[in-house]
Amino acid sequence: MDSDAYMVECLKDPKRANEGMRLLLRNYGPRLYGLLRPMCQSHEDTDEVLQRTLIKAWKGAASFRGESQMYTWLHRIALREAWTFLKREKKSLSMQGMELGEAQSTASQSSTEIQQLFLQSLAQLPARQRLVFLLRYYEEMPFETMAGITGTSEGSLKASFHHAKHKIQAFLKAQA
Amino acid sequence: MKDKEAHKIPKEWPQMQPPSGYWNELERQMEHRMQSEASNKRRLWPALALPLAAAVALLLWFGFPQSSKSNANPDLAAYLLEEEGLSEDMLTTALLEAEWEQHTEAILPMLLEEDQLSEDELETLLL
Repeated sequence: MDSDAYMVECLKDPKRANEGMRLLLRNYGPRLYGLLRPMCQSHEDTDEVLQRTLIKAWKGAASFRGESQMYTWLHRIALREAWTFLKREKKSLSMQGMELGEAQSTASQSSTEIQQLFLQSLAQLPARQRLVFLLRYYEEMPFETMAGITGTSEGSLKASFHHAKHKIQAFLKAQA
Repeated sequence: MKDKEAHKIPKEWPQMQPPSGYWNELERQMEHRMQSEASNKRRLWPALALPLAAAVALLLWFGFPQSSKSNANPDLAAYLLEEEGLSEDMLTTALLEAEWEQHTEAILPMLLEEDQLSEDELETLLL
């Protein structure tokens, strides 16, 4: 039995669920955190979405049949949770602006000036646009797949991406 | 920074690290949260079983609203029922919202191309 299969078995067994969760955290926690952090912007929101993702994975372990890779499955849950969370919270621009300093200080020291500015431009986007932009630009996720995950039409996702890209470009240009 | 580089968007996923000690703290919190979820489930399930069974029976008997059934994401109803535990009324509303999303797709080109709405207005409409 490989490590993922063992982890799923543990998650399904109430007596070993804590061990399964520890494995889940160690094997996939940092990668999921890295995925969610730019979307959620603040550490607190990322923590909440990550916890919801882990709980959903625990509860859904019984339905995981191993037809997809473990990370693919977790990735999908995490995106759905981020989408739901950000949609419900409807973070205001001013609240996101408060996180700018944190975004700058937690970026790796090797980041270029452009990357720093890019983090600031991301922080100014509405949550929906930020999430769509990150998925499309970095993960090159098809809009059709994104629509399936978020339950939103491809048209509105395309509009969000279009606006996000132009806002980021305008921001970077203005800062030059 | 050179001006010609200003509009370029970096192609590397932004790396942002959690505060130190976060993973140990998260492990502890998840243990607590799982215990809490498990005890809530044990307590709530007997109380919810009858209303849920009634809701499912109603859905099976009457079916979903025709207009929603034909247009909504086919996975959505199953997801809302199984994962979110929505009531019949809430499910109907959610399916109608999904249908609305599809209508917005049809009018989106007009809104964008003819620029009848500002960007913020369009965003508000779509949210």
